[in-house]
Amino acid sequence: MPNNRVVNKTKTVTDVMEEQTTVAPEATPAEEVIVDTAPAEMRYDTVDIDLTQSSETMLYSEVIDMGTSPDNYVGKIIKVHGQYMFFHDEMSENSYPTVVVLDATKCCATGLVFELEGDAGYPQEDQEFTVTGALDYPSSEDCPFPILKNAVITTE
Amino acid sequence: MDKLAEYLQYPFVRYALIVGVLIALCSSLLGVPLVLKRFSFIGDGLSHVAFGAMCIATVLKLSNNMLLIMPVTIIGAVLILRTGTNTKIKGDAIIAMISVAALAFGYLIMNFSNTPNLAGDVCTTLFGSTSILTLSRADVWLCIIMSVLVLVIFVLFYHRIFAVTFDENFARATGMDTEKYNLLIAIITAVIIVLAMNLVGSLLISALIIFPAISAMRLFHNYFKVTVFSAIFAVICAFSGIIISILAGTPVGSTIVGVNVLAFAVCWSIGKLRGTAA
Amino acid sequence: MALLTVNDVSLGYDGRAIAEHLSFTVEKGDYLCIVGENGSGKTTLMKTLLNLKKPLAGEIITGDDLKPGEIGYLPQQTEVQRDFPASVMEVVLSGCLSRMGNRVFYSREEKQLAVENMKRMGILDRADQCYRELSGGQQQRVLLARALCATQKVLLLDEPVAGLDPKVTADMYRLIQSLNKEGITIIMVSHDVAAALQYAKHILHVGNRVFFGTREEYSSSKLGRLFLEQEGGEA
Repeated sequence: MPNNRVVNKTKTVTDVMEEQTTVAPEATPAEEVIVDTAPAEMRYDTVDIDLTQSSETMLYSEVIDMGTSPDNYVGKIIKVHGQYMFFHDEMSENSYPTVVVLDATKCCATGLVFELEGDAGYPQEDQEFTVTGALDYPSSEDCPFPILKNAVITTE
Repeated sequence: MDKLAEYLQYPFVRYALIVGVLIALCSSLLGVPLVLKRFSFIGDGLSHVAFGAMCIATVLKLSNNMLLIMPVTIIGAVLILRTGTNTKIKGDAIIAMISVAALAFGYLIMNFSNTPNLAGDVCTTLFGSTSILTLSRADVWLCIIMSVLVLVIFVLFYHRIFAVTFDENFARATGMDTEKYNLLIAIITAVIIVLAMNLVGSLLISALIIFPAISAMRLFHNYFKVTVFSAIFAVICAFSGIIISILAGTPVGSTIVGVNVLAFAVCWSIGKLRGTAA
Repeated sequence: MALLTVNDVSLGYDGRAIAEHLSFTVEKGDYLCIVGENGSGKTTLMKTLLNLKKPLAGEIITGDDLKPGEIGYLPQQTEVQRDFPASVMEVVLSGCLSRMGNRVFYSREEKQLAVENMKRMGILDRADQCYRELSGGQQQRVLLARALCATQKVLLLDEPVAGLDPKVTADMYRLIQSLNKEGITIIMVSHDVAAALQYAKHILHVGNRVFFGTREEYSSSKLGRLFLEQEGGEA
């Protein structure tokens, strides 16, 4: 995902859905959020890259690296903790759910687009959460960014 | 330790270490004559000029802003260093004028461009943020080539740079073309500063130039030893600064400078303990 | 032919002349002292002789195959130099710069030359010492050794005893004179007229009135006697 984008809040179907459902991922245990699949611990028992164990300096650079050198990361299971933002990209004019991470000076931001399994609910805007998924890089017209596919939100 | 080994698997970490060490090396070598000529703050002045050039390049949407930044910074270096001696406006005033004007003008211009994250871009340029950890292979190669060039030039012209720094009048009287060597020093300084902006950002560049040289001068009394120690000091501080910052999650630029300051304090204390050595 | 011939030269800054119509010659083996009031242009003249400045008018002809690199220069010291972290050897060696040509490093012969000149100036035992830790007199000797590395023909000295105490001053003058006896031409700028009269063979007085002649002529001239009276009390 290109970094340093200004937040552009646009209401979408997902936003509306979130308002109507009262799912707050932090408040409910993982099992209730995910509908048709097993909880995170069982779904992803080995995480290839656990970004929650990285220092902030590394975290930011690793995420950037995923964007610039996707070949090194395609297919890897990645666990990342950050803030939720429903990101609107001016270039492709689409919006995506993203997990945003900041660098050590807190003045630069980058993130990963993610796609939850099944009908799981997305977090609130600016909410902190952890998500695990498999990194894919479809590079389609619709979404030119790397996507964390089959993602699962955990509470830890 | 395992964490470190894990981090070192990433290419971008290895790139950061290579580039960081090379830039610190070049800055420190150049720092010795610059500090002695009382141009310590030139790092700051020129980096602001480079910042101004970067802003213009961004507004003009240049594909590779190096094309503008390098030449503009070189011109800035020439203006500052050559007007330093024998002119109506003395060295420090010139640096201040050019540097502040470039910074203000650059930031003003940026406001008219449509960059989405103005604060972030500016912050990155001023403090370096994590830009050293997000270098591409091409960036690394460029840096390696330029650093090697600078090192080779420095070795080839070592004695002449010494002569021009110690006593320009004498050097000129014995037939040396001091204008040419001052120009050479100016150009190399500009190149290094533009490269170093990636490492520690504009505001902290002076640290890379000053601390190694001054620390060395506290401990050694021989120009050659001062130069060599300066280089070793800078390399160790840059290397450990980067490692510490990725392990502790601190901003890279400030951490490197922090290590430099601590190391300087150590050298200063050792120098003091030794007393006035013969 | 004379080593140096100065023909009707005018010196100054920005088109303004401080000294005009200077004409004199310097022969091989000569000892010339340039005296005059402060601001009369003594240092400017020296810089012009060294090609560091262009004269406003007139010409300077060098003879006897004197190349620019063969003039040894002892300039007045700057603050930067007094505080410079360099060893004595490094400073003296830098005098060999003009001999280096296109080479990168100093040759063994050049290092040998530096050692010999340090011996001549009595500072060889300080070769590894830091320049900034030496006394004023010792620093001058180092710079003199450096100048000798650049030349064996002509030495230009700009106020060589400025700031030195009387004994050291006397030593310095004796040293310079011994160099002159070895055949080196000396051109010295000084405000110490008494010393000038003691050691120099020729005097050039620069100022409102210009005088050039032997020291005997100077001390018996009106200008000379007037100047001596003015400057008389100086040690």
